[in-house]
Amino acid sequence: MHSALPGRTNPLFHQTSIPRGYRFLRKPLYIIVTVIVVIWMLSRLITGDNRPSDAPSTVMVMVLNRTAASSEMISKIISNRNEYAHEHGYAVFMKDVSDYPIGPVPDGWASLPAIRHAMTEYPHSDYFWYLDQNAIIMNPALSLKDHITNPTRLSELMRRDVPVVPPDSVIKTYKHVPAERINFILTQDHEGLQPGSMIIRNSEWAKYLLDAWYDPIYRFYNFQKAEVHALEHIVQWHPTILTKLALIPQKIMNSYPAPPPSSKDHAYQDGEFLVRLHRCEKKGRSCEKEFNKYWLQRKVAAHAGEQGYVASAH
Amino acid sequence: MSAASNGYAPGARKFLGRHLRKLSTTLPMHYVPFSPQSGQTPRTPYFKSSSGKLRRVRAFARQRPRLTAFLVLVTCLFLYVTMFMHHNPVSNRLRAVSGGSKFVIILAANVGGGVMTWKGPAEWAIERDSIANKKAYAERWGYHLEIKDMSTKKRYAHEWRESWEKVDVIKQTMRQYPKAEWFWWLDLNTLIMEPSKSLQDHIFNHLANVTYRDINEYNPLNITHPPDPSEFFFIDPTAQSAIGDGHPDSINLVIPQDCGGFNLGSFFIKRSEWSERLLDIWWDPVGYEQKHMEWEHKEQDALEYLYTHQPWVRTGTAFIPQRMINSFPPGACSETPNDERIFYNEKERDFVVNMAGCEWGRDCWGEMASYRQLSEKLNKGWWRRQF
Repeated sequence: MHSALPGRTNPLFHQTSIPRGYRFLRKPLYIIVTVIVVIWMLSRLITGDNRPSDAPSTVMVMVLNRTAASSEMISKIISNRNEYAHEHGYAVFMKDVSDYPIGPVPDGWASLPAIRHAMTEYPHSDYFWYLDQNAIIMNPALSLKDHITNPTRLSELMRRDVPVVPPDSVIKTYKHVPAERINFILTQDHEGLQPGSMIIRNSEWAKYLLDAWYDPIYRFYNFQKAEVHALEHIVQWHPTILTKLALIPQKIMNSYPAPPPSSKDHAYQDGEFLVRLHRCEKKGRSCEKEFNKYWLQRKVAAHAGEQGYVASAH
Repeated sequence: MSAASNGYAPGARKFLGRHLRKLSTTLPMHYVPFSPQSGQTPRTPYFKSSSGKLRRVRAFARQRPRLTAFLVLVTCLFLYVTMFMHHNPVSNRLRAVSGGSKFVIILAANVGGGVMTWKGPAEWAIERDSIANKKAYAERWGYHLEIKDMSTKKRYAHEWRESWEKVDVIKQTMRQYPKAEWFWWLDLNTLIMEPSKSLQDHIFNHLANVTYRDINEYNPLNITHPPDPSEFFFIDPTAQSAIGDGHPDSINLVIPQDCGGFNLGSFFIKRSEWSERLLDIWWDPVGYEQKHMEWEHKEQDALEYLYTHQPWVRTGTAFIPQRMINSFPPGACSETPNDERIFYNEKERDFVVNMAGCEWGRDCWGEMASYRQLSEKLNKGWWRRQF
C-alpha cells in the first residue's frame, strides 16, 4: 500500500529543495500576521477623524444687534473680540440677530441657533464660547483653556452641590461629576443662571441641549426672562442636562460693572477676565457710557498691533 | 550566522516554527502502520488513555472507516438539531446566552385598571392569553419578559402625570436589565402570530434593510423632512440629511407608523446615551401644561412633537413598515380600509397583530381569540411546534 504523497521526511521535500525565492511559503503565519497588520493600519488611516490641523480649538460666538448700539460701539466690540481671538488662535463666529428666524421673541434666543450654526461651520473645534454684545474682554492675556476649560483647572473652579437657582432651589449641582465629563460651563449671579457668557463643548450632547432649549414650546411660553428661565427650567427638570453642567464662580467669566446693582462681591476688579454690562439698557444706566469707561481701562492684547489677522465673519 | 540576522526573532522562530511542525506531525491522520520508525520507537499516543473500551472503538474505526464516518456525521447532525434548531430547555438556554438575553420584552398589563375600573371576565381572559403568548415566545428564544403593571395609581406627587407612565416604565426596565440592549414595548392587546421568527432573524440582523430613516417613504403626518431649511439652515449636515448618518449603529428607536402617525403599541428602543436623553426630555411639565389637552395620545403625540421640532431626535430614529411588528386587524384605521401596508395579511404570515383601539366599540376578546386560533392553525402540527 502506498500513500498518495511521500512522507514529510522524504528527502525530495527536504527544505533545501524549495527555491530561496519561495521560502516565505513555508512561513504562512508571518505573511498572514503582516497582512492583517497592514490592513489594520490602512483602515486606521482611512477612518481617522479627518481633523484638519488648522482647526481652531475654540470658536467665539457673537450675535450682534446693530440697532441697539452705536456703530462706533459695535466696531469696538468687534475689534475687542477679534483681538482676543487673534491672541490665542481662536476663530470668531459673528452673526446678526436678524439672521435667525426666532419669531416674535426676545433677542437672547438667537444665541442658541448661532451656537448650533457655529458648530456646523467649525465641526472640528472643541469649545464654543458665547459672549453677549455688551461685554468687554478686559484681560486678553488669559486663554480660555488655562483660565477655565483645562480639566484640572475646571475641577478647582466647579461649584458642587450648590442650588442651580439661588438661593434655595432644591435642585443642586452634582457633587461627584468629574471635570472631564463637563460639556457646559456657565455662571450664576444672585438671581439665577447667566447664559450671557457660556462655554459649550462640541458634542452630540450639545446638539441635544441646544435643540431642546430652542424648542418652540419654551420659546413661546412667555417665560419672564425668556431663554434664561427656559434654561433654568430644563436644567432643573432634566438630569441628562444637569449632569453635564458646571457652575463656576461668577467673576471667572462674568464680572459685573461696579457699582453693581445690588451686591458687591461680583463687581469687576482690575485684572479680571471680562466685564459684562448686565442690564445696562435699564433706566438710569447707559450702555455706551459704561462701555467707554471700561474700554479705556482694558489691557491691550500683546499682539494686537500685528498685521495679518482677519475678522472671520461668515 | 545568528538566527536574528536573517530577519526572524529567534524566539518567534523557535515558537512558531516548531509549534507548527509539531502540530502537523502529531496529527493522527498520517499514521503509516509499517513505517520503520513507528515499528521501532512507539509514537506518543494522541490520547494518553488506552482503556479497553477506547481501544475497541479505535479498532472498530480502523476496520470500518466509512461506517464510522457516517456514524460521526449522524451524531453531529443530531446534536446540531437538538441544540440549535429544536426547542427544548437546553437549546433555549443556549439561545439566551448567545445573544437572546440582549432583548427585553416589556408587556404593559392592566392598563387603566386598579382603582378606576374592575376587570371583567373578558379582560382577565385577554390578559391571560396575551401574557401566555409573550411568555412562550420569550422562553423559546431566550429573551427576557417584563410584565409591567400600568394600573392607575397615585404614583406621583404631581398627579397630572397619570397615564404617562410609559417613559418611566422603560427607564425602570433599563435599570433592571443593565446588560440588555434592545427593549421591545408591547401593548397588552397584541399577539405574536409567528413565534418561530426570532427578533434577530426578523429584524436586528439586517436592521438597515428592514427600516427606513427617511419618513417621506410613508408620511401620514406630513412632517417636513429633512427639517425645513428656512427654519433650520444652521443645523449640522447629519441632521439636515434625510437619512441621518445612514449607519445602522445610530438607530436608537425603531417605530412603526399607522394611518394616523407614529404608533407606540409595539416599538423598540435601544439602551444608549441618545435614548437616555429622549426618555428624559420626553415628559416635560411645560410641554404637558401647554399641550395635554391637545395631545390625546399622550406619549405618542409628544414624541411626534419632539421629532418635528428637535432635529437631534431625527438622527437616532428609524421607522419600520407597520406590518413587520404591528399589523392591524380590519377594524382599526377605518379611514384607510384598503391600505395594504397596515392590515394583517395571513398569506404573508405577519409577525405581530395589534388590536389597537379595540376598547372603543370593538370586541377585544373576540378579536384576540380569533387571532390566537388563527396563529395556532397556521403553526399547527407536531413538527412545527418543535422548531
